[in-house]
Amino acid sequence: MHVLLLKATTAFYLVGSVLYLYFIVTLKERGARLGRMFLMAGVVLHAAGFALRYAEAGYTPVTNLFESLSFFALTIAGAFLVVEIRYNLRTLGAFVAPLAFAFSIFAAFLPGEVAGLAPALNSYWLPIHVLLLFIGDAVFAVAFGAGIMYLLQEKQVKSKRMGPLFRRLPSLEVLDEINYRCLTIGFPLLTMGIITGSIWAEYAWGSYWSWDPKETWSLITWLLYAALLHGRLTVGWRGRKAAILAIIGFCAVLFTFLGVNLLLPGLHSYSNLSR
Amino acid sequence: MGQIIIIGVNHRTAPVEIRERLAFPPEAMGRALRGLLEKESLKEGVILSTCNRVEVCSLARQGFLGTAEVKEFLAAYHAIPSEELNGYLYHYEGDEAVKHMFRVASSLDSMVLGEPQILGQVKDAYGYGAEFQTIGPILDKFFAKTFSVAKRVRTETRVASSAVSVSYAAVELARKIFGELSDKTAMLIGAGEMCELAARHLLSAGVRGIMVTNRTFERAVKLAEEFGGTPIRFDELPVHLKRADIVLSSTGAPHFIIRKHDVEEVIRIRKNRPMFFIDMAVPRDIDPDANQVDNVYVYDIDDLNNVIDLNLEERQKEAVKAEEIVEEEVRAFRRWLDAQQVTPTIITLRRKYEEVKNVEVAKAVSMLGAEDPKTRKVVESLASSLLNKILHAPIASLKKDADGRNQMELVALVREIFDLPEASGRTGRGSKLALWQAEFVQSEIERKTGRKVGITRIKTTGDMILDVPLARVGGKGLFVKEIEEALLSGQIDLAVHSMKDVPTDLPDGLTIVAITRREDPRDAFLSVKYRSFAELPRGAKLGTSSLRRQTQLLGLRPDLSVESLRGNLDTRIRKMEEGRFDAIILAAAGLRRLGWESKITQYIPEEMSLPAIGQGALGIEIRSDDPDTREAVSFLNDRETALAVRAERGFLKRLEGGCQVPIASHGRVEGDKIVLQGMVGRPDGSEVIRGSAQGSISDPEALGVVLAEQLLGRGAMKILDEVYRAAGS
Repeated sequence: MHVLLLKATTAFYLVGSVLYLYFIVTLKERGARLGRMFLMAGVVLHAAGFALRYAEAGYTPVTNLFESLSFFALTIAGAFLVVEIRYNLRTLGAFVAPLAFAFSIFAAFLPGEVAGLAPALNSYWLPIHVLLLFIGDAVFAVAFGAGIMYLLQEKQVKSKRMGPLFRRLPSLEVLDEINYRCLTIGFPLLTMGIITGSIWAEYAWGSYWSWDPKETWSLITWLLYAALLHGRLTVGWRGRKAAILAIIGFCAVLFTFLGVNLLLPGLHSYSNLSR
Repeated sequence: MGQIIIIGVNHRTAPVEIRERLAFPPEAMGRALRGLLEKESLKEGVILSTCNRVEVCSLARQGFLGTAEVKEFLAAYHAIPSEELNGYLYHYEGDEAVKHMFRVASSLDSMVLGEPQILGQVKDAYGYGAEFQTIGPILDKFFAKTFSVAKRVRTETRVASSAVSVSYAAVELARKIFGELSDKTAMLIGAGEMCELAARHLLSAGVRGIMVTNRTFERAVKLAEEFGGTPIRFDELPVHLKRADIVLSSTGAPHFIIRKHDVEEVIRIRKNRPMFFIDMAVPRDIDPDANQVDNVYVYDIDDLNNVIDLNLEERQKEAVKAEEIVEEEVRAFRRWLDAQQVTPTIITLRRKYEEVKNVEVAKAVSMLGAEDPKTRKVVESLASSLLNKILHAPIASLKKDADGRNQMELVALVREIFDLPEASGRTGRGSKLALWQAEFVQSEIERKTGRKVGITRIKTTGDMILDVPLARVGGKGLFVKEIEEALLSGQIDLAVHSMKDVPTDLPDGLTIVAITRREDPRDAFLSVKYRSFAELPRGAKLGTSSLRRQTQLLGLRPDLSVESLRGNLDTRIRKMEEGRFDAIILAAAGLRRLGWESKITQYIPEEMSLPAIGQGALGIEIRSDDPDTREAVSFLNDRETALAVRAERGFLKRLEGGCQVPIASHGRVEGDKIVLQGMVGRPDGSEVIRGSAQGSISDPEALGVVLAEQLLGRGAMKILDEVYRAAGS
């Protein structure tokens, strides 16, 4: 049942994404309204799926690649909805909702059965560590979408060539503000995620930090966002520079999450394709 | 039923000299519209007059005749020889006319495609038609549709959405850079006309503040005053530049006054908060290379012009989509129009020949002298089947969808060859409220009895005379008289009145058979400036059409200046919203029926202003010798309201007052008693006599008389004598 729910939400994210894209092309309000409804329904079903899976497995089900990808899709969709409603930024959907769909469909192609918990993961730290990081990463995903929108819009204003997107995209200032807000929320989450991970590592592996590829890439990601936050607060990095950094930062997030799992062997390899 | 026609000139067909001569100034609209409808075949009419176009839109009995008559009217009204005028005029009929009006209102026919003013001008034209009662049900619906089409075009296409003037383009860009402008500051350097215009647009778009600088400081001070901004000395410009988010520049300087390195410096101090430079000067004031600085956007006049050109191109593309919407809506309106014509035509056709049949059957039966039911039945079925077979073809072709053929012409043809009268039925004054009342009764009767009811609009003299207070126009029951004549002549079968308009003495042969449940009888206070009657300042200008309200409200507040307010409800409200009155008083019930409750600022309690006699109740008047209609409408009667209104009218009758006398009365049924309150006063409010009485429900009129006697004895007699003398009766 929960596997079906988790996979079925992919369809909701797909329809939601298509509707948001339809909206940005035609500017028909109904597209955005329905898109939001589908995404909301997807999030509700998705969360219900995870609740059922939690009940069956007896542990927080974010321990293999299927679960992680699916959960990431859920947090991205959720974070997007919060920002969309807060800023009434319907065009954002065309840039962020497809991310939720992409992770969701990736997960849908993986076997979804409950596989049992690796002994090393059986800890209170599991939900804390993983939730903090996924929510933080989802917020960065929103910043990534806003960053792309910023670059597209900025290019038009700067080059004085207004294409069809000019009217559709929001103002530069709003997009920059989303960048900043996401940073101030995502960065503390990322920081706490790494710290909790480190404490847990001390319990589980007997060392706070062992330069495992996941840890190394987390640190790189953290340094990128730390640099962006610092630049913003001290010398006023904003606009294009901030947008580019938000995009690079999210690429680092993706590599830390997927690239490391799929390409580099290490202690964190609970969720590679072979499992 | 008729055909919509449009005859007119626009900027493409006629030079400005001709358009000027054809224009109808607002003050001439009433006379022009009335003159237009004097033409034989024109039933409804609206005149649109702007600097780019003059168009007459009319509902004509026959398209070609109407067109000729409108042309005649235009030539005669403006004293331009027809031969000269006709060369400039275009004319549209039916679907073409519908399409034309949709395109005009959607700004697809404008000189600047998508310009926003035309819709407002069409709305004004409609407003005049409504005010002068030259709009009937068809044009009413037509214009409502026109406005919704224009709105659709506006929201679904971008025909009107992108800026096509330099100053608007600047504001639009500022919005895309800064989003909200309310926390942004602008700086105006120099003083070009275009720059000032852009500054004005920025201010109205919500910019928080504006700094003004000029080589001549006095000029800066003067401009700053005009904009409500801060003047800045020209040599202090570099100091203040960092505070400006938007810089508008237009000086006569021969070289750049702001260089790239100035901008780099400022943006550093601003910690990269974006800046938008609008350079309207030629030669330019701002180094275009400054645009390369991150978070800085520099637009010169050519850049803005390019943006506008792109926008115009875009509008052209969007216009194609808009035309599709228009086509679609023309078809939808066509279907509505057809439905309006076809069904009543079929009903009238059938009814007419059913009557013929019945007469002929009766004749035949009596000629046969046969009383036995069988013969009768045979004759009847012969007649029926003959009738059905003959009518089958015309009815079938009426019902058939008009594929390409003009249904309206077909309906007109059928009506003509079968000699069918125009649909008849019932009445009301031609205003929205009256129409609502009539429609309400229509739907109630149709729902309860299944009988079909048609509505006839009757224009009354009262609606035409707008500049004289109601109290001075032709005695009592002004609105009612012409309607009663239509009733007596059989043109209509029942009339729906507001009970407060119905005179106490009905003509012989007519009777009120039902009084509907009373709506909220209170008066409503409407104001955009003040939240309640009590809040009105000394000497405030209050509009009302009734002496009753004037008397009572002046009694409470002798300082107010009360002035006459006439016209339809919408006209009255508009007059208030336009600021011609500080506040107005209207009947709450009328507003609520039309769904305009939200416009009510405050309900005035009965203690302050006693309602008019019969206020809030509708009366159904019929011919006394029409038992059929009597039976059909008797269910509309509300016992308690009827009792109360009868008592109120007894009071009114004893005082011999119509609506031109400051008299008020309001009754309420409590168990088997009626509690009646009454008021008589002087129009200037210097004396207001109020009283109340109770009586049995068995004789409400008598209770009214008792209360009237009581007030007469307390001084009302003297007041009434004086008032009648002043009114000259």
